[in-house]
Amino acid sequence: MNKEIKLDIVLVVALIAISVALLGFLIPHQINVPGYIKSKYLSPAFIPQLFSICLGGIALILLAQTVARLKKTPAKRALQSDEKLTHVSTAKKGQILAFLLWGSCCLFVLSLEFFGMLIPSILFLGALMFYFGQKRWFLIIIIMILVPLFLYLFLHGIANVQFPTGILFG
Amino acid sequence: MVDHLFLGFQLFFQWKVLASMVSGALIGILIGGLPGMTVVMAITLALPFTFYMEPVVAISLLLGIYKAGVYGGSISAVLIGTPGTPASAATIIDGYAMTRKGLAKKALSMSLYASIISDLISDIITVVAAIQIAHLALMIGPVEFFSIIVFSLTIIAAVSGDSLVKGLISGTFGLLLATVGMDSLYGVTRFTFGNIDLTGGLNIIPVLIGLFAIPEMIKQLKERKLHPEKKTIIDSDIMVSTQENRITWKEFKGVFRTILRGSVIGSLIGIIPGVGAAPAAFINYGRSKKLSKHPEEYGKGSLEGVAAAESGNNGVCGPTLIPLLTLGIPGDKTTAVLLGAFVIQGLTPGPLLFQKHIDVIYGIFIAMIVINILVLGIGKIAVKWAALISRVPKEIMFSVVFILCVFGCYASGNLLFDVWVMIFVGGFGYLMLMFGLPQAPFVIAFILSPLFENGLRRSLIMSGGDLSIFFKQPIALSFLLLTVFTIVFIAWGKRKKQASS
Repeated sequence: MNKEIKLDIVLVVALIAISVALLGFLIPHQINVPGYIKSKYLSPAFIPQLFSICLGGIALILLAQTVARLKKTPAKRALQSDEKLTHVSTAKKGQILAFLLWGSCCLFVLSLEFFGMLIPSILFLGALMFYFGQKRWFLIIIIMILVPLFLYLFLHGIANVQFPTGILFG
Repeated sequence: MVDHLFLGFQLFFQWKVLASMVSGALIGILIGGLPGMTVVMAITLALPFTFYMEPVVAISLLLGIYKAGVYGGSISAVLIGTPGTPASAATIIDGYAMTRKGLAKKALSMSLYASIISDLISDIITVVAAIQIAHLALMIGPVEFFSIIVFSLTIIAAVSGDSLVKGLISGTFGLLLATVGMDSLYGVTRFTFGNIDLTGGLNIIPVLIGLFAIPEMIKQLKERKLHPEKKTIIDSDIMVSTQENRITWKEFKGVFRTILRGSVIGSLIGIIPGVGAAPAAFINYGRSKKLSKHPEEYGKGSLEGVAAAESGNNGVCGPTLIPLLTLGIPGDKTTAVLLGAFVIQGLTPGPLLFQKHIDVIYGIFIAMIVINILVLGIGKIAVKWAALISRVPKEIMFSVVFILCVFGCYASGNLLFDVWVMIFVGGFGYLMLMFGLPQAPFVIAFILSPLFENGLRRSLIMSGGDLSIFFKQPIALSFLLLTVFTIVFIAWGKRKKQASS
């Protein structure tokens, strides 16, 4: 089974789960339909229900397509063990890296609540550039200070945006 | 009309008008180019400065910001794959693909020319036929509005890429996500999980930035770490000659029909209050792809695709003022702020405005046309310098873009919650990339979903819940038939393609 088909199967399972969760749990619990609404088409739950059913239906179509593709796909040449190992490890490394990067973005946003907008932005920008391969420290320092400072002054001074000062400094 | 034009020229020929137009165009391009900063925000910020200006000077400044802002959004869409404004979301599809091929300057130039020509044509349509078109706008009720939105949703098929099913999945996610927040009819909250910030729904700016910028940043920085030999945004460091980065006359002639179509579609969408520039861009993109000689190039860096998206969204600029000026109806947030500007100046938009202040109206019309020429001049300088951004190393570019997005998202609503929305939608967008789900259908559906729901429910209130109302109105019925015809045509085309392959 190739990677694309595997991913499609995972997607089908996820979509059906989301559709069932929406119809069976989220819509009944998260949308309180007032009793005076008589027409089901006018209910606030109607459109989310309609879209959830659509999602489930499309998932089934994708499942049918995937099964058809699975039958048609000829057995592929098995990768040599070394080749396979390298391929799998690079892909895995990539996914871990992506997850770590996303996680660090979450931590950065969280830090904004504690330390305000400017200091975490300066530090995070510098860290990102350094970690992803920029070695000219002078350039890093200039960019990491000037970019957030300019944005802060521009938006705060001209656009009158009130940035968070942070729990620790506020 | 000639007399009116002459009166308008008398008001227009002042150095103050020119200065305000230039300032407006500069501010518009700058703000439009910054992800998260919207045209509405820029116009609102400029509004207090217009209190003591003369009407034509004041409105020229605001129109300069508006028109240049809609164009400016395409700069970041092309260069960094993040829409500066929601209107430029469709430009990313081919604009950013061109940047990755090393053709950033060409994409930027095309977006500039398409924007200006389309805007100019739509302005001329506005000047010549404002009053007549206003009557058309009055014919669009909730039923017709709903059928137009249903027809617009068929564009999802055109931007779905290789798999229509995956496009539909992506679109359904967009439709669903847009239902979060307070229901517009009864005030019932949906999927808010008790969070007060979710009551107002998800702000479009963080959703768009999250969907496009964050997955791209993760992807590029990941690539940078795994393959440090590739240094710039451009794939494989393709070195494209200056000659190749120029638009030839033949290429321009090839896309001219697309630009004309975009200006007409944009103008038609512009007169309908509430639809806006983003759907117009996608609708023209979808139509152009269907009618193109090379539809296979769309999504892979097609010059025609850039022209289609940009002409569609800029075609809205002129006619969107028609319901405002002739009927006093603001179609969207931008025109609502402009309505405020008119009132501040002592001018009440509506039929009486054309009787009492026809000189001011024609002065504004002339300014609308001249602003395009100014945006062209400023835009050409901007293109020259902005294109250099594509050669900045990935690790600097995408790190800076991330910070820019965080500041922009925060500024769009003065809420840290919006930054969280951006991050979570970004994570979702990355998963979409992983599963091969296209992003464009999600955006179209997210933008159209509230319009779809409002149109449907308002129509059903009118009919007392009777669905047959959609088949009784001729305009609505025509659009619904057109939708069915389009779906059949798409299904037939896909079947034919499968059979031939």
